[in-house]
Amino acid sequence: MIKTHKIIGSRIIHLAKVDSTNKFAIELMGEDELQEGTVISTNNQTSGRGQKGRSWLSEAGKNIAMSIILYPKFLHPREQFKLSQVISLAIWDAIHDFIGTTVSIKWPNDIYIGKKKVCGILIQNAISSTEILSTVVGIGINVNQKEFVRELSNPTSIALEKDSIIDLEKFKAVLFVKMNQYYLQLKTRNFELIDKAYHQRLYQLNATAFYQDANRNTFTGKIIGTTPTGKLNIETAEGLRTFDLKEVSFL
Amino acid sequence: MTFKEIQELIKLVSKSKLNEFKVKKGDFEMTIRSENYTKGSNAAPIIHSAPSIMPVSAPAPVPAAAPAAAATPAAAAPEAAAPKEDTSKYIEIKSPMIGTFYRSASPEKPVFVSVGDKVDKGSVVCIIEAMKLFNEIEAEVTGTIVKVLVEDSQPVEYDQPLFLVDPS
Repeated sequence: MIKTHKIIGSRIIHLAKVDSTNKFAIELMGEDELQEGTVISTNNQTSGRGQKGRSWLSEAGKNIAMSIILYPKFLHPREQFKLSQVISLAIWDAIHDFIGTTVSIKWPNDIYIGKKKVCGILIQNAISSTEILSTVVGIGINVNQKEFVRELSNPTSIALEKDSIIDLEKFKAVLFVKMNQYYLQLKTRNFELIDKAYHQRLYQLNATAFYQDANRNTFTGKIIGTTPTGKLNIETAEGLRTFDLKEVSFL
Repeated sequence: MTFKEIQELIKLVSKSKLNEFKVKKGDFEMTIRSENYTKGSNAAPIIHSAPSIMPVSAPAPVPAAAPAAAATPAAAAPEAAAPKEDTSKYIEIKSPMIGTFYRSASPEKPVFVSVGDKVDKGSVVCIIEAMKLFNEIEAEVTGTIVKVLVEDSQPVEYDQPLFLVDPS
């Protein structure tokens, strides 16, 4: 086997069980810099975090939770959406390899199969005014879980959609290959390509659908893309509207 | 196992030629694999030892909310009453991006800094959230916080001053 240069997954710290891989990673980083690309992974995360404390329920041994430690000092804080994009793209590619056509990226960085969520990402950065000093990318992917507690988000798993059980190790191996490919794109600042790839995979791109704005007004519109900093552009009857996170929800 | 011990272990394993290393202590179980690891290449030694306190499974201490909530208004009040003074000697900590300003890591956590707190280069002073990305903002000066210029959960602009720091 040819050895390819890899950053992400160059060292894997796998835990039988942990409350949150992001929390573990951040505490482990402490004063010392850990090797870039170190991955903290588990198949049993007991209190994973979503956006601002929303929890992500997971059955032991069935899913993948991991946190990747990166030092993307080559990015300006203004460019951080690019990092979010490449992570989404890598996961999209890996899931797509396993199940095929219906995978999409729901803005800004959830992965969907059909109309259901299969993966969530939480990125925590430490930054100065001019550079991103360190990043912990937290990823939760529903792989083999087949039953979910009823909740607001509409969860699914790769196994549910594929109707067969996935080898977690095999899936992770594919994921790391993709992540390294995309991270390299990011390092070489190939932003145009990243943007193009992201838009191609965007959930409900160019499709007329219902949305709701921050004032709880429902409207129909068409997602036509994102701004360089990652805001969502929706074309509506009243013209183009641009939304930040939490300013719009998908109905 | 403490995080210090885990850090030491990782360092040791990195220096060694081991491709895989497993440790088991109580219900804490960790495997470290290097880049050269291939399945079944070399069986990893498993180290079993007596159970001890395991930090990672400890439940998050939730009921710490009260002091955090109390700290915010209390800090703001005396500032407003303080006599006007020369602010030109103070240094501003500015927002490096557009986003939402948070004074604590989560609602139940205490604020990172309050008026009167000493900050060093590298101390985390707040979080700016943008596009679902949570950015810890670090001070680039050493000094004392004299004013918090933005309220918690408020949107901030690029370059908007967030804190005033007295460097003396």
